[in-house]
Amino acid sequence: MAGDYMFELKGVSYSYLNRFPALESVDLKIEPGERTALLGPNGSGKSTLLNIMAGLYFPQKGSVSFMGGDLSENRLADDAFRKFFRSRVGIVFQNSDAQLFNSNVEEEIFFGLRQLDISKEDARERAGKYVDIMGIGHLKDRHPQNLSIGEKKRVAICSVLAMEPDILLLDEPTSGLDPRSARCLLDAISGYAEKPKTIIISTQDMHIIPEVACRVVVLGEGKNVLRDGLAEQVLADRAFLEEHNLMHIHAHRHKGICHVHPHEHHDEPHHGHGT
Amino acid sequence: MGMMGGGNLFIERSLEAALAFFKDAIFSDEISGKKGVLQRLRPKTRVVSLLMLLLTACIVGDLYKLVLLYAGSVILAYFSGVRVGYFLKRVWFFIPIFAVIIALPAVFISGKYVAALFVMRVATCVSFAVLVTMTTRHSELIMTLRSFGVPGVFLEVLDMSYRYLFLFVKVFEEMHIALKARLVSNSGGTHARGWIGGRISYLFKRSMRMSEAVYLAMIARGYTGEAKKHGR
Repeated sequence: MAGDYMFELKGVSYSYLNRFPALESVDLKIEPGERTALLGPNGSGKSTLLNIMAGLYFPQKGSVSFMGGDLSENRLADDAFRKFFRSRVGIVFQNSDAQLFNSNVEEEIFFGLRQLDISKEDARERAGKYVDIMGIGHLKDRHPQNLSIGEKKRVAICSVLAMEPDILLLDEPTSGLDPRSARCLLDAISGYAEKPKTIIISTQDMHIIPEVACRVVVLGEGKNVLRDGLAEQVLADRAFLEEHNLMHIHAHRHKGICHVHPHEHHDEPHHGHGT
Repeated sequence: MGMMGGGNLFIERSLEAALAFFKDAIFSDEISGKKGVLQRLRPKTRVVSLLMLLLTACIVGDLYKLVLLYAGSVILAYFSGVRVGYFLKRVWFFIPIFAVIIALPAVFISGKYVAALFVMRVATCVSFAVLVTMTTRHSELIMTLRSFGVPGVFLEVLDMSYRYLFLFVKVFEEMHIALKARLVSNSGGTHARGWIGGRISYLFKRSMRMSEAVYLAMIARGYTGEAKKHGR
């Protein structure tokens, strides 16, 4: 039944400027409470897919439904539906510079809450809670442009978490972050996921997948879905990952001997001991 | 730097000076963070006081009174931790372009006194406007203007222009450094000018992409045309 899914995409294709294909005939169903990772090499359409699910891009072919109803530009023009949708679906972009456009961090966090007509008291309470979780209280008067990459990312995530969306879309949240910032973000995402929330995260960083997702959807260089399955099964299929440019080969030194073998970085107790 | 040709050297110095000016004049919080006479005032009081002085400069019809007002702006700048030489340069940099050229016909039609009055009035107004922006943090200025009832759309545009000007100045600086890092031989002035033209076009494309991304980010958080604000 269509209503059982948060999102249902059927034969979705999208091209930029009607010339540059980004997605080709993608079918995807996301159930409520599911934690899904979109895995794929550069240019496989992960960000485009997230933008489509966020109701920001609209496919040229195929259909997208949200909680059983059509997700289209016309439907989002309806005030009541738009408010309903925007309060339930939050997206964190890969480029925090695009996401942070207010004059200080506090304004940034309040922005979404105000647009959704959350009362001042509730907004304060929510903002305070997520500011504490993300550890950015000391930044609230700073201009977002003066923050480090890790701080910008934390502010961007906080500004979306404060809206308490039921569905959280994250585009490469750990890319470019140092280990401590990445850990802070993963802890926040994992903590948020403990509530009955739906999380869809795009990444190329396979070692974070077991922590944040149970299901993996692999997008290929052909901009289509290559595989859809349980995280542990997909990540264990090394031949498949290597074939589709998701594992790399590099040199390791084991007991003083340098040798080369396929390698990925997920869930490994000792670096460099794959295969 | 020494590896570059004369044309390159000139352009590089101009670029560096322009970038330094932008960063120092528009984006620096150094002066607004000092504990000077103006900074001690509440942002609202400071902005209102300086705007009143600016309005006074607009209506005063006597050159000597204007000179006194202008001198007052320089004294205020000094006691607010602004280097006087820098302040004078910032004010007078644009005056020849925007005031003297306009005032030139007045020298022949209405006389030197009227032309001098006009130039002095512009300089005094610019001085007070510069003092507002130098001694007030951008975020405080936006909040103050909002509390005066300045329309939200105007402030949003102002705020974003400020933010993205900063971002693109940084991008341009990075491109400039990347060029320097890869230059191994002299290249002529024509090549350097071509490079600058190319970068301006690239920056324009990048700014278009960024504006699209920012707009999507706003839409994703419920923006529908005018940003809503909670009352303070």
